[in-house]
Amino acid sequence: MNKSTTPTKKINKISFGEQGFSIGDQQDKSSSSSPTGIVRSHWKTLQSNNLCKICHINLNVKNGIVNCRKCGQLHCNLHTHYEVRLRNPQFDEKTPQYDSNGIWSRCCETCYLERQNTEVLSNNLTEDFKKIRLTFADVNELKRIKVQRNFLKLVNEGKEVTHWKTGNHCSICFVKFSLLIRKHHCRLCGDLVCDDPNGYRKYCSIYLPIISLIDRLPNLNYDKIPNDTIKFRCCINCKNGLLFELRKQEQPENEIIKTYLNLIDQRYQIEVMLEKYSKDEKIGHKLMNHLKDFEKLVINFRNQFFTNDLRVVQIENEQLIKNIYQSIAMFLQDNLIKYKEISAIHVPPEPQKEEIKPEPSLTKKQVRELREQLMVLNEQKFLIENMIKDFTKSRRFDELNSLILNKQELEDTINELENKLGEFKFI
Amino acid sequence: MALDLYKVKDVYFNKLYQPRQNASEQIKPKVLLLDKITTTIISMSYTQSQLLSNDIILIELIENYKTLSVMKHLNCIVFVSIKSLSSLISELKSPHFGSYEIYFNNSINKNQIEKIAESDEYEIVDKLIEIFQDYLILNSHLYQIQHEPGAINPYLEDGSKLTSLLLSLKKNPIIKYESNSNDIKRLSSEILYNINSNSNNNLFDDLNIHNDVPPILLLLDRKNDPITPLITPWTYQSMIHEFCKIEKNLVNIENQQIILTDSNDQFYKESMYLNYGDLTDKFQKYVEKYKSETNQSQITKTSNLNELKKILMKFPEFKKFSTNILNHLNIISEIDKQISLQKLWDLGELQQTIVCDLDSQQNIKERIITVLKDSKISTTNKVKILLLYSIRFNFDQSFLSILNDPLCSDPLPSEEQVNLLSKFKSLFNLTNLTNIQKQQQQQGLTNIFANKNINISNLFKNHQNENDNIYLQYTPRLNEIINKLIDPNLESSVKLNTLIPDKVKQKYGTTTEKVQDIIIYMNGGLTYEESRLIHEISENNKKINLIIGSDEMLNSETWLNKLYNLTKDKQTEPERTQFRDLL
Repeated sequence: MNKSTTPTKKINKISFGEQGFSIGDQQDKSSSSSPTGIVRSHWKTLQSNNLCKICHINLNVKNGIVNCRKCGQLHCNLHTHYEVRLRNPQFDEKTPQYDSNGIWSRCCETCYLERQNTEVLSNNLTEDFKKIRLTFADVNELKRIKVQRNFLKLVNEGKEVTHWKTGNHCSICFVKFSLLIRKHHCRLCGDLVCDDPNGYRKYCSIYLPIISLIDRLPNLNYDKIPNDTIKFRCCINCKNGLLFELRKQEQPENEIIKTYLNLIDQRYQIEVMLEKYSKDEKIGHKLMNHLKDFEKLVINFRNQFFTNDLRVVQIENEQLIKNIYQSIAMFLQDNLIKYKEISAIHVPPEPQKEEIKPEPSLTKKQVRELREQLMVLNEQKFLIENMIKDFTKSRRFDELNSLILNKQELEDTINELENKLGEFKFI
Repeated sequence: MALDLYKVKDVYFNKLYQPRQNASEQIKPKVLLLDKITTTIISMSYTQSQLLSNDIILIELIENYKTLSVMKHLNCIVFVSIKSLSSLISELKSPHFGSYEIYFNNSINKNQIEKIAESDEYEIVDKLIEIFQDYLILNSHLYQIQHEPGAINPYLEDGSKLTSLLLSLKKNPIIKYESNSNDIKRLSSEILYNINSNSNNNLFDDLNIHNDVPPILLLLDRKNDPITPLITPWTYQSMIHEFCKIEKNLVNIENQQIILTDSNDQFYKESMYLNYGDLTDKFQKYVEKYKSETNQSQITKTSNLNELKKILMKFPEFKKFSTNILNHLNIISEIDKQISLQKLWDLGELQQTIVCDLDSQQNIKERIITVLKDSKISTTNKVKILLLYSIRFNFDQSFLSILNDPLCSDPLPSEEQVNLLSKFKSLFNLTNLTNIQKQQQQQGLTNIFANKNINISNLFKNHQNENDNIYLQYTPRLNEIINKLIDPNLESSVKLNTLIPDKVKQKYGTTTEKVQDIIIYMNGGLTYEESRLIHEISENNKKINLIIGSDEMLNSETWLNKLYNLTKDKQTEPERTQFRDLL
């Protein structure tokens, strides 16, 4: 569709436009605006040989010589079949600018496509949200104080502290009470709640010993501590309100997260250094040290959270640990080749120890691949050994030398592979 | 391209996960809380490794807020639909994570913000952001909206989903819709209401800033083109869907799941729109490339150990390469198997002959009879051919006796199929009836014969393109509609009504002659063949930006099932208002 032939009438118009332009340019530079009102001062003037900015065709009257109204560059007819809306430059702008209310003006393909950007909208409501939240802060605090006061009263005086409400629905899950779903009252706020300790609605209310809450809230003004047989019913809202301060406190360090934080920190160091390394090879040793640390961390992580047959130790956090492990493995896999290169170049002072050990997180796939390689190499070694025997028998010593050398090399690689495989060496 | 859904995907990815820009930022591992709707959106758009490398170490469903374990060291990114509001509120009341960034996948109203604010007693919400992606991104120009079963008012739901699409692309469009469809009419007024009312926090007011021409939202109805999904497709992506079904970018072949995305599968990206012949050529070249690269790596042949080392290092890359080849090989061989099994080479040609009017009725009839007598051709395929015939000409009862002959058909056609065959034409003529009547009134009785098949014959008019591949001669009706929009001077039978939102009217006036951005929505299902058409139109015409979408991706099987339901519905309930629930 792009190649739609231009009517001859249009070509005339263009050559006319080109003429008009050159005259305008010579006569009067200060008021160089076209009849449409878009300035032309940025238009490129004709040189001895003019090429289309896009297809690099020689521009002449036949191809058309057209200035893009937006960028001012010269183009052929074919690449100026476009129109955008423009407005005149304001302030210190040099060229006309896009404006969806502006004047339709002819432009080149580049400027047209530049205009066609995919924009993506998102709406940030955080400000509004925080303002609204502020208005609720007092109300919520008041509620919490009330619940706490009621709780103290209940503990100290041991009697009903609120007026029991009436109704037909649970105030939390809105289930309708019936013969099977009985009414209960929260002893702290008096709301009607349902009780379903094992089912889907089990979180509406709980029936718990008072002492268990007192244990968790030791700082309140208790007159006496009731014995641990006394139980009472409490809705989830009141429980949350009571334990608000407690929940707000920081949770003790979590081993998994702590290790992970160390890991990503180290990983990030490596990423930064890898980037620098591509420009500056001097930091190779430093990078090697980071890699070594990272490796140690990974091994620790594996020992800590996995059993020997790669099962997760902590069942409750299984997915978390697996995900972490996977993300590390991914990072290592993506960069394995680079590390090897680096470690090959920067042979550290103690080569045996410093060499990057095989990443401990060999996946099953990798293990299989390595094993296959190992097998192939072993076979080759076997073949060469046979050949050596044959050759010694037939006394062809001149070829024997190179064979022995070959065998040596093979053995080295086999060793390397075996090292890499480590405990996975045997099938 | 001004309408690139992959760009939307990338921008939203950065919004959600904010990949770290510089070293000074402290890294905090994150957990991602989703609900069922957003899980599909996320899984269609991003890979797990993408998430993992952005320190998302845990993904949970917000519905399970009761059973989450407490991890205050984790930051939480919540990306949910408004349907999960109550779960979110409960989660905030007894939080499990350190801090929360909440993203909604569509606009929310003030009342809802207040509810969240009230429940945030711990003041742990850092951000509350609306991003507008209540739809799935299939390709860079193809989207799909999800239907939830049991929606009370589907127009309302679809309307808000399409509104999210408009918002995400920053478009405030002119709405054009097919005037003969009630469903589309209701949907269009729903969208217009969404745009004009202030329920979206005036979001629509300052869109279109960078649009010289008002964008167009084109609402179409599948019912107006019932034949495109019946025709066997011959391009790669459509064929995969026809024979193996693409379900949310996943293809199931021989108990194996294959992920198909053009964003990280170069071969698929290059070949998804190729026809079958070009595809096999392309694939052969691809395999040869693989061979030549792996040939060097044959371990036994190399003498130099250093070289061997290098090759071994490249192993993972080869592995990727070979699995990719294997996947496509599996798919292509499955397609090939199906084509020869169903005798589609012959059938396909016959289909094209019928719909493109390439032969006389007598010849076509003879060919159909030979097809019907072939017991190896499945009954479903025979039904498809007969449906095409019945829309082109009138349905011939003599076919039924052959179709019902146990010697020729195995299994015998079901009651549904027979029903559909006899009613197919009236089913879709009926929807156009008002149209025809109007024309007849205008033109008087003299033209009654000319008008007899006006809608149907127009369906076949658009085969004039110079396609020399006999299997690809049919062009869907969509082509005509788009061309008509681009060039209003073209002849067309399509009737479109126009709705213009207030803000658009203020800015551009009511008359607009140019077209740049067109967002198409096909109600009732879309074929990949039409998606390819859209891709081709926008490739050929740089001035136009197109995206298309639907509520379902159809192949002939799913479409036939819908048709069966439709005829059943017609029998029991003559009202047409419920049509949409079935479609």
